[in-house]
Amino acid sequence: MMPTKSDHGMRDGWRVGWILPRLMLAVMVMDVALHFVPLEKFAFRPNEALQRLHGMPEGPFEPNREYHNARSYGDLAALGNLPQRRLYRRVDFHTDAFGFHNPEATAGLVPAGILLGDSFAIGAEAPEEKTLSAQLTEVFSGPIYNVGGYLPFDLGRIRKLAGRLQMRRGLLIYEFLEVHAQEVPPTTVPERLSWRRRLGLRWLGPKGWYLVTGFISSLDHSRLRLLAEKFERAIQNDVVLPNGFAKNVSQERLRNGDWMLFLSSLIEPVSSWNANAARWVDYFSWVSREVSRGGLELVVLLVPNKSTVYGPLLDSARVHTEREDVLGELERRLRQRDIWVVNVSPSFRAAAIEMAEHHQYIYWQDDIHWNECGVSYAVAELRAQIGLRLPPGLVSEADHPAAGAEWRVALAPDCQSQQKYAETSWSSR
Amino acid sequence: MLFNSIPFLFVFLPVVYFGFWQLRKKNHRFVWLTLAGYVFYGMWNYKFCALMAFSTLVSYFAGLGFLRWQEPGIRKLCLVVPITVDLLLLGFFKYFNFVVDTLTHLGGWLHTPVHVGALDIVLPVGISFYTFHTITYIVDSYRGVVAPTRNIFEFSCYVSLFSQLVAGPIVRFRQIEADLENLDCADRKRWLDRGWSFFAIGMMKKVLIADTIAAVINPAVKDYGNLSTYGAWLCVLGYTFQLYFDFSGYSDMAVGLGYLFGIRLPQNFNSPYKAANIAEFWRRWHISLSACLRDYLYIPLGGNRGSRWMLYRNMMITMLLGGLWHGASWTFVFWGGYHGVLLCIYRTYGERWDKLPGSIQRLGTFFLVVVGWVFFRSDSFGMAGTLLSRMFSWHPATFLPGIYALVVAVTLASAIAHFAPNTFEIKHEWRPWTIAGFATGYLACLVVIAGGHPSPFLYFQF
Repeated sequence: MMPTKSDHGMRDGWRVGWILPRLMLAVMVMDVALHFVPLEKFAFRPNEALQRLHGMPEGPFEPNREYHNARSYGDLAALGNLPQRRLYRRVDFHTDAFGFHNPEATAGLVPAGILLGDSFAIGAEAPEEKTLSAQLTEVFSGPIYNVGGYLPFDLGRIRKLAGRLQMRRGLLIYEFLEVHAQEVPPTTVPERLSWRRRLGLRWLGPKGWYLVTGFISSLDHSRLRLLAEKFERAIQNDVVLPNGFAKNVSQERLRNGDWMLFLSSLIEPVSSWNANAARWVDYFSWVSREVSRGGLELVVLLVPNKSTVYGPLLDSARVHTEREDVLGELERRLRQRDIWVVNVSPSFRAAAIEMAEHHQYIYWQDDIHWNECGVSYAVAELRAQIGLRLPPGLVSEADHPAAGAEWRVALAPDCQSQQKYAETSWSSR
Repeated sequence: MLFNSIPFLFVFLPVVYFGFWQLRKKNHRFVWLTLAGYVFYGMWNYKFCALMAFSTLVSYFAGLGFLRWQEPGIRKLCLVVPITVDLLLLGFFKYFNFVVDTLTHLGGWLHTPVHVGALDIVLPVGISFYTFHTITYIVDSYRGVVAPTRNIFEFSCYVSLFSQLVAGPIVRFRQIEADLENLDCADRKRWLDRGWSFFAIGMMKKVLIADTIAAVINPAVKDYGNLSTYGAWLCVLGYTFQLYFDFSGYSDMAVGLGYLFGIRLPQNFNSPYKAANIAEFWRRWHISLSACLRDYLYIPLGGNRGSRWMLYRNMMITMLLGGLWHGASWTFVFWGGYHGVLLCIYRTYGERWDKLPGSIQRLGTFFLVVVGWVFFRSDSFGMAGTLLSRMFSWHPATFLPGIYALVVAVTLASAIAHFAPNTFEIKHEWRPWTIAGFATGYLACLVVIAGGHPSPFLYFQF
């Protein structure tokens, strides 16, 4: 149809009521079209780039994918929109057929254990050969299968996974971050499916249901929004506009003069032993009891928040250094219940003090997470504390617990890596 | 749901718009708009939909009462009971904790502890606005200014019309009655350009000007104790324009949306910063509220009749309550009182003021209004005092992040507010190059909205 003349002698195409709705439509179409661009083009780390969008009850990532980025950086630098604080590093990340972060080399091998936990267990912040599961693999007689991000813990899913991996016995290492002590533990009773899910599964079948929910959740990941957010971050540089993201992150100065970023909501460590922390003891007792029926031994690895480790080293009195040792109390109570527990908090604090003198760190300065040095300390601690108590055949014969005394010396050269990254970062250019 | 949000622009508005124009019958359109209003409102908190429905029903039945009974006693009952119910609801949700807090403080000063605990009350968004809608309807029906409607769909459509539901303008039933009556005859194309033009101008005022100013001044005002003199002035001037562009932007969007559905909403702002005196300012600022306060409070109190002191009393009561309407805080009451005093002074010395050169009058009025906004913006009198002392005594400069953007935005906003015609004065007949500019500005708004968290309108809190 030919464009018509309007009342004011203008063609329809040059009328506000014609052009603005079509502009909105064009933006909508562009947003939909941009969904075909892989998410990794917009991400700076694998956690977002490879995340699995649909609700298939498998790993947190897209299966059999890889992500490589020579200029990845810390999540805190991103959250606070602080490009000058980025420590650029190379990240190589592979996912296995189930969508977990496991290197190809371990495929098909029967694991000696399963590593469960949050982003610390996923290990996107360390080279693949230095992740927690990779370093634990060196300690045990078989690979430690990394199911980091597979939370909340679901007994049925873990049993099913152990069956698929042909595990008849082994360890279930549960990486537990201090901040979770404030949260309510997951329910021990399998949750009833929501009526929406039940109906969806019945009508569409599992595949159809996951396709539909995957499509809906992919709508949440608008590339247009990501692009617009990038633009917004670029202009919120404290010159054009104030950086509105800076409040998410607390920039602190250590006594050695170095900077360190903290998540604002986590700058104050877990302040006191609370009701939820007590519930975790019951919860871990239940997990231990249940998994032992399937031949798995539970080991709880208690990991402190960054502020717990570096709070005492801050130049300011911002973080209370005198506080209740929540992880210590949790450790004590778990031991009373005969649960294997490794609390890395004391050794982390000691290591942090020692290494800070050399401007080396066990947590990334620009990230919430530990680096490979932190992981190494955790593995060494785990080896030292429970290595001897492990069932025969689980520990690698080459790895004698007595060697634990030497780990500090052995780790020091690796921990210079932070300095290395700093040299390539924007801040030092 | 906010007008400046992706769900509203890309889902709600298209669905409601196309659904509306697919329907032909008047009642179907009433029901459709009512449903849309409840969905729109329910996106904040669906539980408060029941409150709005209750308020609607109470007022609707009051209207039916006026139709049925002519006896003055019963009619008065039909007036007093629903208004009391509406005001009690508003009072409970908006002012209960304020009263408790005030009593507690008062008890403390008088060494008589008051043991009334504050409640964890969530203020239903827009309650001040729809309560005023229903009250004006009841009073107008009682006075015979408007014939109460028997059509519940029409009335519920009026109360829950999403374009004016949460932040006005406070539309009186009589102002849109004709358009509601002719809703089935509305011509989709007639107001299309005007509607989009209003909507886009409002959007640009809000997203590009008000929000840019807010992005700079909000962090600075949080640290108000450390502002330099010029920083304090920039922040207060910034807030002056933020508030105007935010609220008038919302009103323009509301008017534009009204046009898209064939309903003409009244003007709410008439270039208030061009006012030459404080009385004129109030005839130009938030016109729908000022008119309500005048017609339903000031005039019933006696208005200009009676002695000079009665007039002052009426003015002060009206302005103090007007201040309180804006929020449950003494700073709002003070702000209302401040304007009340200015109005009284103008009433007394207005003739002398009017002899001053026009530019001095406008500048002076603007200055007085700006000082008033300090109390409006402040959370406490301490904050207001500090801000004023920072403005009026010398404090050396400290760097204000985003100062260049703020200066540009305030200059632009000032030029528009003081010299440009307002949205109701322009003809909305755009030439191609202006439309290209419009499209670019609107696209910029969409990009900003897509990227960030939509910023709520300031008047939603009132």
